[in-house]
Amino acid sequence: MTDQHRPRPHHELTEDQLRDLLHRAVATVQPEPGALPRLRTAVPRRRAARRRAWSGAAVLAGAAAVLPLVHAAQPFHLSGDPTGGQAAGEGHAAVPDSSAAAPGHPHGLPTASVTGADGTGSETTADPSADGSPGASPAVPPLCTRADFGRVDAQQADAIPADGRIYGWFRLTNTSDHPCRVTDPGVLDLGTGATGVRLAAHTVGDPAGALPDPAGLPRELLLGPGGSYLVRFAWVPARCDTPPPVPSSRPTLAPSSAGLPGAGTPAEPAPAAVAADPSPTGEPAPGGTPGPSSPATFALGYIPDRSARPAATAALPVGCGGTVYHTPPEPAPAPGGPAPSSSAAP
Amino acid sequence: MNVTGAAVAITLPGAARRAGSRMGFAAAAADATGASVDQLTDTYRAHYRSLLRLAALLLDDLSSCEDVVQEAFIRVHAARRRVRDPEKTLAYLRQTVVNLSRSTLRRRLLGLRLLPKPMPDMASAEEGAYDALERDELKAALRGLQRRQREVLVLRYYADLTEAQVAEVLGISVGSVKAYGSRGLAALRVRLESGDD
Repeated sequence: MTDQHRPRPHHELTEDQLRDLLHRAVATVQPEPGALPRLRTAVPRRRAARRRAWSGAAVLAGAAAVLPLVHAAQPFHLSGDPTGGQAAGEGHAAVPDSSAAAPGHPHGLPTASVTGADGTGSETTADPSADGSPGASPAVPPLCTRADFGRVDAQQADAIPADGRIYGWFRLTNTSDHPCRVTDPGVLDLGTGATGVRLAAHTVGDPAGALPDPAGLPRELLLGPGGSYLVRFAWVPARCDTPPPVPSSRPTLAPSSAGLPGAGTPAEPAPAAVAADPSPTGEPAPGGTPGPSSPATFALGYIPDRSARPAATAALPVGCGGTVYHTPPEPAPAPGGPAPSSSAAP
Repeated sequence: MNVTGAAVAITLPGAARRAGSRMGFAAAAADATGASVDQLTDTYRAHYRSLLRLAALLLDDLSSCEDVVQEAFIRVHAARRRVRDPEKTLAYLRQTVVNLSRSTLRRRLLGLRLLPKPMPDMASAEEGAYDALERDELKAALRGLQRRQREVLVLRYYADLTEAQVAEVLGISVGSVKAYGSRGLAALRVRLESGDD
């Protein structure tokens, strides 16, 4: 079907010409600027959705396998009060992976209640508390809701003197009496005062080196009653280009006014600096740059669900702006000190 | 970590929501093998633009093209086994772009959007008017082809696939590829010529 012998001076289109034409026809087509960022958020979300479809089935299988055992072996009435089981729980804490020992873990202690649901199957089943809450039906635990998180708090460590970095975390505790799953990583939220502050997901190699490698974190968490998870963040302030007027923020540590070392001047702490920096390490002026009257902290909130309201906020010195790095949820280490759920009040 | 301060608990609404960053389980979605979101970036850099252009030749308005290529990237990267072998990633992507372009066209036809919006041209001023003319001519001519003919020509001469590769992408025989190709080329000649008169 080649009729290429007819003379067509201008448009005797050869294959090479077509190739050339095609390339030139789209030579000006460029990706829109936000294309890659969009993919960066969309791909993990799609993966999570796919995974949910799969892990839902896995959890169901796991729950079905474990629950009958737990129920069969429960010698006492489970009131759902985790504090009552503390001692007994300790006694049997070394629950090996044999599920016969599982009943020794009667009350679903918070210490063991966080499980990466997508961990290996055997490990999941070896952790009875994840599914062992009384009255749980052998079904997939529901997704955690805001109401399940009766206790939420934010904590931050001292600023690192050298560069003013501050590490901290939000901790959300399942204070309900049933296990629930966390699949939505939630969002960090910049509140008032956050001028020049940006958010970034932590990646290996960025300045927030002490944050855990996100690759090692589970994609889904199963929180038993009393179990909690952390969302860590690191505040890395930018270096101020122009040294702001720092007369007042310098003397943070040494109350220079009176010249009495250790006098304390309790009545009048170093003026603006205290508000500027809760961790008084005299950092490259984390206060001061903006207007003198503006609050020198910004609110960093964490929203575990899709609502508009942060469940908790932390106040960080805004300084000259900077970056908040964050990691996805991770199982919280067993809180040794904090009382389990007794103090929980929504 | 020396924990001291506790800034806080439960605060209330009020907090103006200035910026939110969805914390994708981003890198958490990384493979055990270490293949991660960085791979997405790599693939993006290597192939996104050419796939976008491929879609631009198969479709006509740029926003659909972008949607199609985005969706292809998402689908292929969400299925990890598909990106395990970088050699094959491009093939998966290309296949998906072709399939999605096809269904986008179909949807659009069903939606009776028969008159395609012209692709927003970002032709710069220094580009010759002749080039622009030629380009529009070609695009108009391509649009006039049968879908299969257009696909074969674009895959063969823009994406530089072999006839066998085109056959695989389109799920037709090599013989059909040859036939669609030569008929498409002939039709294109006719159209370009008639457009010339």
